Amino acid sequence: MSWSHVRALVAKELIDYRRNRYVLYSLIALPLITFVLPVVALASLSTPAPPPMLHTAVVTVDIDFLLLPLVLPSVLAGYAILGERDQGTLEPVLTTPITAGEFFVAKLLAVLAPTVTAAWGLYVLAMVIIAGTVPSAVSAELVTASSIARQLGLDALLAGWAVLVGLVASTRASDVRAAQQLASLASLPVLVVVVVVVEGGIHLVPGVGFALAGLVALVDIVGLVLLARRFDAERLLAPRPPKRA
Amino acid sequence: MVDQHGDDNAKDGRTHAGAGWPALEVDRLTKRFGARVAYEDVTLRVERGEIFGLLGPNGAGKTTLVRTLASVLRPTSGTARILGVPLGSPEQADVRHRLAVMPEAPGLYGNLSVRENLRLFARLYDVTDVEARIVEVLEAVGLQDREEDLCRTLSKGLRQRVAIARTLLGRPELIFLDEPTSGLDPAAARDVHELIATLRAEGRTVLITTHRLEEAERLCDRVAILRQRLLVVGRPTELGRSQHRELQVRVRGAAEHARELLADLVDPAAVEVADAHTLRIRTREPEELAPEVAEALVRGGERLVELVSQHARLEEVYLQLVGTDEEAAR
Repeated sequence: MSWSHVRALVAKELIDYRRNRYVLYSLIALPLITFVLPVVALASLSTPAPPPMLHTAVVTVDIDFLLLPLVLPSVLAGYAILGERDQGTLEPVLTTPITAGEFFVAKLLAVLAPTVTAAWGLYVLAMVIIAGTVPSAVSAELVTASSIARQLGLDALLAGWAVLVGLVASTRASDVRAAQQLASLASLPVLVVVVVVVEGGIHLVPGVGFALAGLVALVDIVGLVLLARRFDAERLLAPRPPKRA
Repeated sequence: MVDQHGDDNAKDGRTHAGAGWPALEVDRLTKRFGARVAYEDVTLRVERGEIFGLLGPNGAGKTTLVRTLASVLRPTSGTARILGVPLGSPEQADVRHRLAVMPEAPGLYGNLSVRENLRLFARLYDVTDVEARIVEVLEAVGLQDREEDLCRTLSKGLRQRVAIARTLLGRPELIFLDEPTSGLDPAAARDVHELIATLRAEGRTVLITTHRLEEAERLCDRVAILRQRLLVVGRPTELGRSQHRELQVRVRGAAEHARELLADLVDPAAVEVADAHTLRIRTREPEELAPEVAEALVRGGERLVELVSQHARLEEVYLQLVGTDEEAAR
């Protein structure tokens, strides 16, 4: 594994994100919605809020912040391979000495880094604002050491999973939009598990939490290895048969 | 300036497999996509330092053959050695340090500047002196004053030049140029031709696919005409000689009179009156026929002005072969 190849490709991706309006707007709009909605929801809570309403609000905020690491990667990772093909850069890159493994690790890191940074950054910022502005009864429910640890851990794991799914979709789908939709759909079952966890259906004691995290991380790594090994450039670069009239 | 030798990678400490082999050795290579044949049974050899042209109409399989040789696509059957290394072998990664491909579309990142594009590929080719090398290749293609421009703001001709600069970054021994002048205006195409001539002077091996025949005739040491199968391989001039030749006869008197004088010597069907004073005689051996034609005309009282042996141009050979093949396919 040549890390200089990986670094070069990641650096390229980050520059490209900054200058690609479609990607840039997605990077701004999605986190903004994620950030504004829960803050407004909490600010509009009556004081003192009845316990069931308070519980619903807290769960909604938790889930809302977990949506970002699931949704954002589908936009970026769905574009990662097919976007290269569509602008004609996939062929020149694949004829360089970069290996499929390096290529996919770079693609994964290039999506994972901004996603996790955005998710963590916005969550921490929101918690600071919530702690300082909403009634202490509400913030005491939301801003706890365990919920913060759970949220930050889940952010990284969910993003890893969503990036992997997005990359798979981007190597299999016929166009970028289809890949993004496919990636979003494939992330939905994970969201159900997350809702159950946040609702308390699965009690995340530290042992279970770490085991679950390890499992997701293992699935991500094995998935990435399989993706690189089974990557078939021919599927993307072979001339497409003409459409029937 | 670009380096003088094609094997500068040895300076980076890499040892190369396949020294002493030709740049390309292809044996009965075939590629099918399902039932559709992209190309089949292609056998050819490209020597080191050669500029080799792969000609053929659209859909003839040229790009697919290049992608196979660049190890982006897998062949269905047959074998090939690229710089001496068997296609599909574990040493393929090493070979990628020694070759470069310029696809038909330049394949540049539009949101990146010229320099950023080149920097990425320099790192992917493990170039040790990245920034200095970028300056060298930009100078080689005359783009040193455009290095900060975003690639999407460049004209097609300039993008093509950046793509050529990119192929030079790793100091490749073998370069594939797929339709390098496609869609370029004559001035931009001429610039690309000059760059290819520079590559020849540096001793690099270049395989060009094109359907511009005058380009192939001018640039290439040898050409092959591909239409799913290789129809012919050879030097452009030799192909002309082998396929179609003629003797052009210009006389002071009437061409019709000259034709009558030659009636006993040449099959009248092979003689065409080109204008009032000129005849064209199709023959496989114009040099041998010329003295006899001259003698017959002088004996008949005709005054000979010019007697020229002419070979078919590559274009005529191409049209003859591709046309014949098309008819056979119908």
